[in-house]
Amino acid sequence: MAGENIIKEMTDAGTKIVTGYDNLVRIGDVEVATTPKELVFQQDKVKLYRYTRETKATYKTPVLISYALVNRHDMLDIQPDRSFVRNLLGMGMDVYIIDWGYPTRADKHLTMDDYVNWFLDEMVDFVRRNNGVEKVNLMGICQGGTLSTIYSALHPEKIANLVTLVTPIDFSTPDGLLFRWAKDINFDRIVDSYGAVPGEFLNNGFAMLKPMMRVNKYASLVDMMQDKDKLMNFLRMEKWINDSPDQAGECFRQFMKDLYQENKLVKGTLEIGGQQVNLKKITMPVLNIYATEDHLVPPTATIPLNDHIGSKDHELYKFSGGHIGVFVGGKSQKELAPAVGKWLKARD
Amino acid sequence: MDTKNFFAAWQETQTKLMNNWTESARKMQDAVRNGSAAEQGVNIYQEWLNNQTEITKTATEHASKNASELGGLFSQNGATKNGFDFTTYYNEWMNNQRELMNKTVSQMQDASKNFGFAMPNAQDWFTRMQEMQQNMWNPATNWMNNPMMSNPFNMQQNPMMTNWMNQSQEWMKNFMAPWQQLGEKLNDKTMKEAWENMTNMSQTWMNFYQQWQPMFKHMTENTWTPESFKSIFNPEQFRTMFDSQFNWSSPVHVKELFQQYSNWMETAQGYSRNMMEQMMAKMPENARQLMPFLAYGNGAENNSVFAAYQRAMNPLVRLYAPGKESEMNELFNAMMEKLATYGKKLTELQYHLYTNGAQTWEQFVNEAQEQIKKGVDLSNTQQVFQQWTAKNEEAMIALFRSDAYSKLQGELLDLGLEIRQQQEKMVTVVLSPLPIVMRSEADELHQTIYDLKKRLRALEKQAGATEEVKETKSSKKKAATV
Repeated sequence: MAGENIIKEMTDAGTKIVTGYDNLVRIGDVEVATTPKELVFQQDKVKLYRYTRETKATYKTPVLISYALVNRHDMLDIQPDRSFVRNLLGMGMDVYIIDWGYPTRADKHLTMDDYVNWFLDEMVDFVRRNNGVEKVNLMGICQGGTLSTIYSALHPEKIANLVTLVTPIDFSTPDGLLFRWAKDINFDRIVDSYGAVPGEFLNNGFAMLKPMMRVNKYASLVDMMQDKDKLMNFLRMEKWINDSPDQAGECFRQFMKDLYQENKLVKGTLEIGGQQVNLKKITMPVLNIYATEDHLVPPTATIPLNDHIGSKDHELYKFSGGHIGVFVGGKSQKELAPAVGKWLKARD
Repeated sequence: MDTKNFFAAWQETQTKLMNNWTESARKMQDAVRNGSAAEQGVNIYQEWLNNQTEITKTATEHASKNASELGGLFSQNGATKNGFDFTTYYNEWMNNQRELMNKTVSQMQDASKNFGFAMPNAQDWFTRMQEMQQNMWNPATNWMNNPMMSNPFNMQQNPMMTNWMNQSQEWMKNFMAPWQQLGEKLNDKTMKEAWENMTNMSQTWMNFYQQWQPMFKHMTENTWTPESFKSIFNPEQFRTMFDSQFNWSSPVHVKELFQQYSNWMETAQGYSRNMMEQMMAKMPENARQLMPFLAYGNGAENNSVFAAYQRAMNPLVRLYAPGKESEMNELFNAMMEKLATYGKKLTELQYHLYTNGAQTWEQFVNEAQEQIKKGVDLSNTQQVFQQWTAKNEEAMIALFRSDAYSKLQGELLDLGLEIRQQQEKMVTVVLSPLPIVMRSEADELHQTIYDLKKRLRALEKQAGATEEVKETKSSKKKAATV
């Protein structure tokens, strides 16, 4: 009966595995984030890099990228032909990026106030000093976008333009599982137990948002291994996924309780370092980019930003794809990055 | 068909076992608190054992009844080698808990010894308890191990299915083994992990293959009836497949946790009492190894020096051990109670997952049957597998979105972390007499460093602002002079 089938399928799979293994062995190290950059400033474990330019920047205002504290900014430069950063450089921008580092238990006490009013503020000031400009363009991604939005509300005089990508703002959305689950989680217990919330712990939670993805991913690896390029893409992504820094406890606590559970940013009741965060104080131009298939930050959490800010020059950009596709997909390289460049150029 | 029977019975039994544990642990804790541990311990243990035996017996009988009433739903599942073995499963559970209970009781006995002068029978109750256990346990175990009595699934009813399961399992084992070993030779960490995950995931695929292929055969040969699902569906194998996907919630992990805590408890218990004694007993030998010249001196004299040291240290060792043991006892009991509740909640969560998954599987199979009737080619198992995972994901997400699941998951996470905190407290108690910096002390130090850094930052900012003001003033002066 099925015996014949299984032998045939196993033999086919065996042949594929042998070829795939051969491809694997021939691959050297799996490298990500290879665009040259230079460490220009550091505060504690947080570093500021400036990407190397061979020609003079054609944009007057430098761009400062603030990625999420969860996972690493390497996603923006995952491989040379799928690099959001390379695209920005290619358009003539002077690009800086914040590396939030790897917090340990010793960093448990770092708060949102520290991340916004210390680290981010110091980085913004450095870029302003270094480039001799009054204001910088701030580009915030995911959680980094939320921090950038808060920063822009607190220090609008230092920001020329704000670009947010797949950024959660309205946490009352019923769409995302993460938003649903957060309502029933005791975040105090998590922070009090771990101190620094392990990246692996968070990664397990993210994996459950698409519970069968892991099974499918590895089941299709046998086929993917036949093509060296596809295999490399897969491995680079794996490397990025597994590189998840732990989270400084106090910052995580406030982010999850004040935002995910109480939606204070939109309600106007969020306090950072004793100051109330008023989104109406965001008066600079804002470009808000959301992804239609985003299962981590659903569009309903992102889109409302434009309704709450004080700026009259704001635009919503709809990207057809998922949370990660915004940075690595072909469409991202061909359409999104040029659109961001064009929008910024018009306001430079 | 009612696929809930197996999972419902499974959940019910797990809950009862956990309740029995919780109740007994509570009684023991109370007994220690009010100083009647020695007198009441035997009774509590006897009650626990009786309940445990009864629960298991009922569960097995219930499963047997299911098997006969449902006309073969579980008929193929009695495989003693590769299929689900109900008997072994519960035997493992019982052994595991019995071992743990023994250690807890033993620990209580030790704690009671410290107050032995007030309890004349404290010295012999453990022996009595052990005899009783032997008398009761043996018949219970024999009963459980008798396949005619306890095995609810008669593999003889469907030898072809058993043969298929055995063969395919064997093929898979032989097929994957060499590939798994190959992964060890990869140098890059990312590659190594990806390879390992791929070979591990193949087990899930194989489980799917095993279940799908016989159904597919029936469908293509037009011998499929609604009853066919009942006779082919293998709940335990389905559960294994789910566990391999959601390995974070495998019941094996809870069993392992019990085992680990039990071992840890044993180690910790002996640790404070024996460590110093062992160290001192080994001291002459160690010293000779470290300082060989001593061997040329007067060995007897050296030994007497060590013996004197040992005599001097002994009272100190004995001073702290009893006090810490009773504190440990409290912490241990509290933790085990939490662990039992965790086990119950985990069982509930798994019940949601399994029933949801089994219903989706049944729907999927029915839809596949309809497709085959319409002439759709489903011979590519890889594609069928992907269709199933897509459907399953949709159903899982709908479940995850429900209030009941989200709440339960939150409770489970909270409880798991509470156990972790409790465990840390226990480690602190064990290590407190040693010159080791505790985590809480390190945390205090980190807080101080953080506060100082913050102060420094504020001062730097203030200094920077003052500097800026000065610069502005001096440049204004210069401008005025010019």
